[in-house]
Amino acid sequence: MKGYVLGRLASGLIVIFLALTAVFFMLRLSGDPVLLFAPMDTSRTNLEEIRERMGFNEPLAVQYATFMGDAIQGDFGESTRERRPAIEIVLERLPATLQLGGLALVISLSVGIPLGILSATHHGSVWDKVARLIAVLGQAIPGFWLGVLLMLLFAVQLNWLPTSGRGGVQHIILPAITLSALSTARYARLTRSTMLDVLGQDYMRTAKAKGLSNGTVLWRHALKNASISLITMTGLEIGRLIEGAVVIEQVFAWPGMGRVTVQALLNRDFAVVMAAVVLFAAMYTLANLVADLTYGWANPQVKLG
Amino acid sequence: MSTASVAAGGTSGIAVSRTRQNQLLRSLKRDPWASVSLLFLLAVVLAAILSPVLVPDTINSPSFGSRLLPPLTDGHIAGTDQLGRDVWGRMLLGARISMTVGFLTVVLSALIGVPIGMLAGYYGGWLDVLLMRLVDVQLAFPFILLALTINAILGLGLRNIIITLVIAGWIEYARIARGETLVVREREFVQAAHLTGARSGRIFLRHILPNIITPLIVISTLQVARFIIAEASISFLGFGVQPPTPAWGSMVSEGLDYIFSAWWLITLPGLALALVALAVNITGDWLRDTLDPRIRT
Repeated sequence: MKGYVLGRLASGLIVIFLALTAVFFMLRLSGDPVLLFAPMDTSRTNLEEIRERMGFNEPLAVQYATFMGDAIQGDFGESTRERRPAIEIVLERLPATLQLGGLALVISLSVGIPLGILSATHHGSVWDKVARLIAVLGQAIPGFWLGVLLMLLFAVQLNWLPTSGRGGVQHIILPAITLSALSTARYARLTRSTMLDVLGQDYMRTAKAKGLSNGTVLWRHALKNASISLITMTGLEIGRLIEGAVVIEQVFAWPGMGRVTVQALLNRDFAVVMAAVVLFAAMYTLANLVADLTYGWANPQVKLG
Repeated sequence: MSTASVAAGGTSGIAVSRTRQNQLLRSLKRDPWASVSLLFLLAVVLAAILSPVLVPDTINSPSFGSRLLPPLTDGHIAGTDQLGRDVWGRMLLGARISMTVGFLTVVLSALIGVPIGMLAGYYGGWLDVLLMRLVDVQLAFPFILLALTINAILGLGLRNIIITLVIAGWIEYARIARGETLVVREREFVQAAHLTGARSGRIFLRHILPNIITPLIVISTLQVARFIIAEASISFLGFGVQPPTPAWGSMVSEGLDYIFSAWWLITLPGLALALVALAVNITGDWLRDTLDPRIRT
């Protein structure tokens, strides 16, 4: 078990290492990297000076080694805009993203799963139709547009909630709902299909035949077996939430990692971009590891290691 | 896929496609939603193709006398924007961008991803190891972030956004082609073809490809919707297609500044986007159910 966790952590580190390598070479492949790091209006002589200072005159292998050596110590260089360590800029936005993503996950779990169960146990009913409609719409509506629509309705027309920013509870409601929408649709869809599968199994009939109450059958037998695929999905879902946050944070001016990354990309502040890339990849790897471990706990048939 | 068509798949492609055509038409009659979606998509594609003729060249020149007119005034079906430009005409041009992106990215990603996936699945070895590592990296990396980073490095514009999406999207094809090839490789007819000394190219094109094409077609429809939404999101964030060229995503983000006065600027282009994605998904679901009842997601 311990070996398994260590192995997974190691492969996670390899993934992060490869992601860093990819970004490093992408920046170099673009031609002259100094043009990416220097502000737009830099003069020729200043360009030379920056090139020298940032080590772009060194051989590529040396640059790569220096870059990796620094990256391992959490040093991704200085933000060209804010003149302080890039990792610092990204890390201070982490709580806002975790808060938004966490709330969105809680919403999608607590709405999507009951909706999926209702839709499976009342196959063909109104609930079933609602769940399927949500699943279909959730797949088609772009997250940023849903956010804009909710903003138009609840912030502009009804004036119930603020349009953007981070502050009190009222600020997080719209972004969290927007971010959770797609997830909710996917949870409802998956819960529905796994529950329909499980409900058709022989052991379900046996459980009912034993005279167990509907509630016990549903909770002890059906949901426990359906939970395995839900846990696997949650690992992937966290990644999707991170991805969604990149866009949604921009819509609602939510000061999280996604927004800081997009701003950095628009400002061509690549030190910040690289720090963010590593942090995103790390979060994702960690989420999948936790999902795998929970999976082993929920399904003793799966031997880890 | 039925066993009959699998068996036929390796030998006679023509017979299969004719059966399939009939099968598709018959199931289309049973599924009104799929028919409506297909018709709608056809209309959008047509509008995209004809948009340069339908929309006057002056569409992007400002006309400050008619700023922010609500829909259905002065012959503007969808109103005008902050510069007095006709929103409907710009949406038609936006359809051209969305459709081009959706079509080209899917075709190019498939052309790159499928051969690599087939080779990796068939031969294994270092190519397979490399591919699976790439899949891991891609999974650990938010798609949109990858696309934005590539776009920021390559520069903005329609051509680069397509390149960006292909770089980010081909791996999905490679992954699926690899998985399907792994299964098909072990089948008797492939083994037999190998033993009778068929050239590798022939084995890939005549024996493996026809048998893995169905899941790839199904994935492609879903990918079209995914790519269209990705392009719109990227344009919404200020990357990708640059003004004054209208893309649905950038139209929404430009309209966001006028959310208090002009609801149509943000709702209508987004609605077009959502309807296209919805129609593509419904078509994809129908294709999946008809062609390949095995896959259930």
